[in-house]
Amino acid sequence: MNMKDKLSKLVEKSQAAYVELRYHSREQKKIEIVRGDVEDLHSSTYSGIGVRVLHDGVWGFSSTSKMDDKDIINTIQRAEKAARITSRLKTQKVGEIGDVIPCSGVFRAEVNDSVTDHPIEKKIELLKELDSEMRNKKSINSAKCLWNEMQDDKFIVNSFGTEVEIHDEKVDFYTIAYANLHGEKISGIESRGVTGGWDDLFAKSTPHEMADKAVGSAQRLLKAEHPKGGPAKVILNPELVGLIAHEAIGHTVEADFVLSGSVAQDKLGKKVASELVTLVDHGVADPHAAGWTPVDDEGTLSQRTELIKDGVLKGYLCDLETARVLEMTPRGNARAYQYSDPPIIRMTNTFIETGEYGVDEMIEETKDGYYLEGAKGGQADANAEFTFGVEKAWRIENGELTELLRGVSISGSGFDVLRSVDAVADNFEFSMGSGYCGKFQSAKVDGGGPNMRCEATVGGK
Amino acid sequence: MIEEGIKECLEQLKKKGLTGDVYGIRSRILSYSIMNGEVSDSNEYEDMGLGIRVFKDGRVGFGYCAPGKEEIGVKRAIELTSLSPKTEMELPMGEKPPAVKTYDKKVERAMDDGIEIAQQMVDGASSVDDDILPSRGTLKIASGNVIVGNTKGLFYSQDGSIITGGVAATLPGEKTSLMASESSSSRKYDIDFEEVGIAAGERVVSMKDLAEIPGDKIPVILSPDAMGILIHFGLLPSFDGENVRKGKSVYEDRVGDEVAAGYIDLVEDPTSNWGLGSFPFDDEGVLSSPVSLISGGILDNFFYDLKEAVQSGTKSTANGVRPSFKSPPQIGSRNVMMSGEDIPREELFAGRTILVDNVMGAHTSSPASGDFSVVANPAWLVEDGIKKGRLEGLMISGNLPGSLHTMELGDDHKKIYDSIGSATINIELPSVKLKDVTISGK
Repeated sequence: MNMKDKLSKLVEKSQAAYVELRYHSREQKKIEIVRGDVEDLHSSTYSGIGVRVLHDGVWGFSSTSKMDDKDIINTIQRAEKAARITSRLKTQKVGEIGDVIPCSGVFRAEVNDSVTDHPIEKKIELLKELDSEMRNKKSINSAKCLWNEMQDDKFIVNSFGTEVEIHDEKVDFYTIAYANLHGEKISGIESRGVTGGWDDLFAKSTPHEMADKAVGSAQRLLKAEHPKGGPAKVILNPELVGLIAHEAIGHTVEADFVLSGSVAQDKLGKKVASELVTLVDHGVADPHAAGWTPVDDEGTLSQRTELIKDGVLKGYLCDLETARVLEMTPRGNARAYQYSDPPIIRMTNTFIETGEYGVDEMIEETKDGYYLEGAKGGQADANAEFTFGVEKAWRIENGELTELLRGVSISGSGFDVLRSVDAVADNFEFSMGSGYCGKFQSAKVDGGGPNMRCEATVGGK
Repeated sequence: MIEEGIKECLEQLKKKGLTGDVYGIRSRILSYSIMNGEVSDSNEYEDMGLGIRVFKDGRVGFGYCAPGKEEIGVKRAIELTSLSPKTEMELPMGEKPPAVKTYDKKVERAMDDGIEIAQQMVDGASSVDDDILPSRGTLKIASGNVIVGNTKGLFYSQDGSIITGGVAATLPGEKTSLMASESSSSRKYDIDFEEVGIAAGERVVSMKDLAEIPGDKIPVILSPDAMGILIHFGLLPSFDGENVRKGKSVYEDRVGDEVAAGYIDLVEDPTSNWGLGSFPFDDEGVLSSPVSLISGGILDNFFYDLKEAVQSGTKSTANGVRPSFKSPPQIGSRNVMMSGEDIPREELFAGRTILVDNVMGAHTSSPASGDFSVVANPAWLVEDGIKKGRLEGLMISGNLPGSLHTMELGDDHKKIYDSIGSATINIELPSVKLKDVTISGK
């Protein structure tokens, strides 16, 4: 009996009102080359089953790495016990979880030239070659190359009759060149992460072109100065637009945060951004976006969610439970990173839609400001207050890019920043695919958009 | 099961004439979530696995597996040795580990009362003000066993336990909701979780009134939570032996120099009983002992694991750590403790100061220079210890190694246990007053 049939049979063993069994197997390879040495090399396979039940109006979750029927039944019973204990005190019980349409089918990522067909020896050889190339360039004293690939197989069955099979392949790749300026480490980073294979990863730039770009960035930043801090007009590149969409806005419209009092609570139908802004989350917006999620881990098919439409807050990201509470439709945002994680509300591919401005036109119109490119990590809170590191910043003076700056950060309130948007460009790029979101558990996500002009606080040294 | 698995892996390695070590963990974890004013759901699971490191022809390979799959794990680790560079490393011999208290059976027993314990945080926060919503929170109770063995006959086993809980209290504000949180962690079942909730509640109530960000330079006092995060990202990387050797630390060639005020000690002590990162051995089987990083303001030592110790021509300081059994060992801090003059609160807060309870963006600090620029939220203007109003949109920036020369330390020592991204923060320290911080904001 195959795993899907086995799980379908075991779903009937539970006394709970709702049962969800998720088998998840992951093959993962990670390579890290630092200054010519293999610093980290992993190859692993792990698999298990996550069990979630809704019993007496309360969720219970448990998991096991053992696949015998007896172990799986024990795990179902542990999940039921967990739910029973919690139900002693919980007053806001989860009611019926709605008229959920069972989902069935086989979903495969679109993979052009699977990375599994490239031997690990060849990948190490390529990364060492790139590392060496970068270190041989002027002013570059260190380099790092990272490779991370994951192949996932999932079977999800639940009491609604859902029977889903998902086969996914995701890969991300980094080239980082380091230069040293009076003891301060300056880095140039080029990275890309996709759903797909070798050809999809390197569709825009070859690995050598990426390494060259990383070197060029580090070399140019060596001559850059720190900016003066303060509020400023800024033009964000697609990566930073994606980061604002995800980190500063996206988390505040996740229904679990909304119900916990995020800044987006009670804002539905209200103007929260410039009318130039339409912000969307969609699991299948692009077959190669890193957050490709055709069906979520509750078995819900992905649908496009317009969170902000022409500046007005239109929706929240929900799972089965919160969709019922908020009277919305679940659209495939309940995700679990590995079998031992319960599904929680997550973004997939989050982006701002294109406008009509040319990027050059946007710069030419700006008398005094900054052009910001590349994200170096970000953090935000439930009030949409955020702070992001920026890789490169150019001063804009009288419509021209002038001085290059380094050590730049931007901060502000996400919604205030979106209210200040006065130009959205006609380009578009998903460019956050090499990163992970870390809300309680990891998740592969993507984000992006066009270039966008707005106001934010620029911080420097 | 873990013990048998480790023995099986080591046996297979010995049969093949190879050396290596195996790290195994079995832990039972129970967690409860608090959401929207009540304990919402629970998750109980067992984490179990083996991390296998193999040495073949001077090269190292790493693999991991579940117990029962030892053959696959060993095979995979051996395969990867051919792709790795030559690595010099001497595995330790078995000795008698130091006695370190890391396990309290009351923590394991508390799993049966987990929901009531989580409820105490909800009740505590709600008791402060009728309008407070304990909006989010987590209680996590874990206990388990860690075993490290190697082909030289070393075989150490120790039980550990931890209970950690935190709650965020939300109050409706004029423009946006106000939110503040409090958390506490211990290896013993000795936390008053109602007090944790009350602290979160009182903190959010104190955020109601606003104050202007001062235009002049005044001292900034960081709570243990805020300072712990800053130290983790802005100071501890400079104590990583590999960073020091590669010139990525402000402390390169500075052992013996005065790098802090004479009253400051910074110690890595995994032998401290009940320390959150304490354990009698590290994840490579090196026995723990206290390591002085800064003593009386003088730079003493750095963190080393087995591999870096060879590279740097020194001994491992028992700082080979693994984020999980799925990762090979890497250099990391375990149970850092910072101490100083223990200035009483009323003295530390004398005059006009700014109190910062949490910071955002500490991960953007420069690990090489210790420069930081972070959003401080929540933060208050304080006069003689009394909060005068919350400071909205405050940013603080400075340089942590530089601040060590002038900072003052309070007497409210707290064990901080936090995680940001993949980083686990594990530091014991008091509130710290920084006098050379640049403040800016809206």
